[in-house]
Amino acid sequence: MHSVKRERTSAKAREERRRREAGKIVEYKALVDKVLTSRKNQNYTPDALSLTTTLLKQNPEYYTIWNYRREILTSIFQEQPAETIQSNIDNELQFLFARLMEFPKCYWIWNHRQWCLETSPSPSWKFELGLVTKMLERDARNFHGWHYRRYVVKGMEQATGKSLVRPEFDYTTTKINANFSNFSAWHNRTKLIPRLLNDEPEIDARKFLESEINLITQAIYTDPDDQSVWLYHRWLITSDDIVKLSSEERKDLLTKEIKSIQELLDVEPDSKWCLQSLAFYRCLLTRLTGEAVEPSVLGYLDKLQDIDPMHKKRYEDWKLQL
Amino acid sequence: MFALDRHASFFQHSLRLLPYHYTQTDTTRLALVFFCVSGLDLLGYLPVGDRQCSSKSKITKLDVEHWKEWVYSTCLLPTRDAFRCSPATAVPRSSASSSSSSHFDQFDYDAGHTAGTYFALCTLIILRDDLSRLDRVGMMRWLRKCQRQDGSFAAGLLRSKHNGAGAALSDDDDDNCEQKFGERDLRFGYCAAAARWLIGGDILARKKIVAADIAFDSAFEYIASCISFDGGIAMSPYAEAHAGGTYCGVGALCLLSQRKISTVLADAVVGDLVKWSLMQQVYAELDPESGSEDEIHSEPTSFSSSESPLRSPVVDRPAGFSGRTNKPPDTCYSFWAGGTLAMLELPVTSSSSSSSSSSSSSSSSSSTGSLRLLDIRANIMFLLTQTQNTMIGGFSKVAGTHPDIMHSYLGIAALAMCAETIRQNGGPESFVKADTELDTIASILPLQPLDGALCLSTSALQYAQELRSKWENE
Repeated sequence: MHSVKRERTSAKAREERRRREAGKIVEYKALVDKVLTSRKNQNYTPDALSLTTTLLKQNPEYYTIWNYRREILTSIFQEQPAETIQSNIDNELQFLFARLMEFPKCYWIWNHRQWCLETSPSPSWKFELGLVTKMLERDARNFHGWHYRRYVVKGMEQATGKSLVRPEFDYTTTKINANFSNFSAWHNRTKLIPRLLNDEPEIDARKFLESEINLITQAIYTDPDDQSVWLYHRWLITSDDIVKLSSEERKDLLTKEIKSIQELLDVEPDSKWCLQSLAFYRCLLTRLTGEAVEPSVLGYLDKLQDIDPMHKKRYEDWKLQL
Repeated sequence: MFALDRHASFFQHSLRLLPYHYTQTDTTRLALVFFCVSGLDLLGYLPVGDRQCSSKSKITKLDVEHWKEWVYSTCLLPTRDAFRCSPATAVPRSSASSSSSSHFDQFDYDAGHTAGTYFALCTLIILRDDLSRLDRVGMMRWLRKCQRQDGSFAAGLLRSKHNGAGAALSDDDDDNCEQKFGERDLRFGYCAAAARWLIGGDILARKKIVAADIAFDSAFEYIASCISFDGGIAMSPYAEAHAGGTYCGVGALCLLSQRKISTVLADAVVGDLVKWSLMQQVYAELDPESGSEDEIHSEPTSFSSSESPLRSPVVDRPAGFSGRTNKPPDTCYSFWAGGTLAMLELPVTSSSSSSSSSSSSSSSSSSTGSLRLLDIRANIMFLLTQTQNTMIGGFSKVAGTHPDIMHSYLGIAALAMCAETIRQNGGPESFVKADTELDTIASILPLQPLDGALCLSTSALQYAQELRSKWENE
């Protein structure tokens, strides 16, 4: 739902607004009738196209009308040479750009854009990548944007035959450097790394992992209260998708990271994420070594119940499971 | 305080007339009807079933009949095997010549919709309709045909016109006769799983009254492919874990497994889902204007009178749920994350269960799963003091915005689950930090218990179970 800001209104103003709205509703319904009648009569003329333009500006969620618009365009394109079609598609993309600025999360707008690219004699994937980069600058968490970005990258890769994993990986680095809290960027990174390592076998996976751990450790020290960086750290330390570590190597890695986080905890004794991560990693290490759970873990969970009372019951439950 | 009667007014007004800004939700009007009707059910305002209806309710049996008829008006005819999501998509058929080979002339655009079907069925069940007007066998076929090769379900199905307008579906999997359309994500798998259960589709399949059931293996695989590295479930593969996606994935698994989640999910995965959902509870940035429009009721706040809300200690602050990591809390996620927790039980250790009835409940109380693990008090306070609108009723997405129907219903659904959790875990006294909070916390107790898996009242669920028993014995 799109948020509508609340204002204080008097009863008189509310009545006035209701009357205006009643008029708008009547107008809207009349327009809908006109468009649907036009479709029923199989009207695929430029006039019909304009009608859909007017309606879609008011209600881009009305997907039936997008379908009708595509019917009209397909019909018009049948008689046209490639350059004209391309020019019309470009106009369509312009129209969509304006819609997207107003409704950045409307599935049907993104969808129609995809149709345009599939119908275009020579789609400009480069332009699309620029567009989606701009959209993600406006809202870095817009998952429609990230989804569309993956679609565009795939399109580019198919068109050029070249993998774009490396530049996409670099893009996540850019987004992360702009804002460590951008979980969407970290998330995307987790999807790209396995592919990157696969595409570039000359990369030493273990060295790569080490450099990622260094990166995330810097981020953790910069902002130990941010959830995203800790989740990414956890993925790095526990995932088999980066490099398959032997049991010994995994134990060594856990031990090293536990020590590193312990150092941070000494400086930030009330850091909830430090305590949670230490408890989690120590338990994990215990499972690998087969040793008994250390009493320090119970200490962490007790402290967590104090400093993170919202999740108190979760920590109680955790203690019971040990 | 929970403004129960105001919310009932809000839903009733919404059912009569919607303001212009709802134009964008015109294509999902059936969802809005479900939210209002189910909302009124939870508030005790519907004259249905054996329960006592609120004395303040002006809803009549005639209203109930009228609403049932309205829902049926969105049912596809003559097949009666699916519902649209709104009258808006009842597109008049163009008189295409049968020789036309254009895609658009081949397929009938007046299509059924998976979510619409789910909302319609729920609404009818709540209103105590026995679904006898539907072709349930045809509907099961329709649901099956909405499933794609990758296991996901489509938003809807276009029927080929060459079979004649509105022909019934055959059991064959001939791709030229139907075409799936719409978004590709977990939502429609949930809607399909719920619809299948509500019409006893599993019973029809087991009795071989319908040729085949939906494909379980691929359905599970698709859901599994949406599980993210941090333990939550995304709306689609590659996307970030999302509370809505998590609810839909877990809900589908719950309903497909006859509420025996442990048979389809490993304990470790269940544990991760619970942990992920709990970690979505986050403190809100407080709205300095909250409660100030309310001159009629004096709001007892959870803060001691000498401190302003913004200076109160962290432990007292309201905390709702966010939809994804590092996003602010939003009313509806109290339901999506809460509902997920209601459906999941952590593996029982010797002293951990102080809660709840069994998860295969046919009784009037509902299972609250692992809801007891969240900070119930902070969640209730978030909803009542930050996003509740006590003047016109309803709940908004975040503080300082207009209430809307979806957030109003899901806020109330979340509170209904909190109320049940309180009832099953020692009563309101166990959930307050000061006696002054008792009235506020207790004000949600009149809410009817809600079934987390289907998102409707347990009394409606009971009625659905009665129908299923009847179909089982036919």
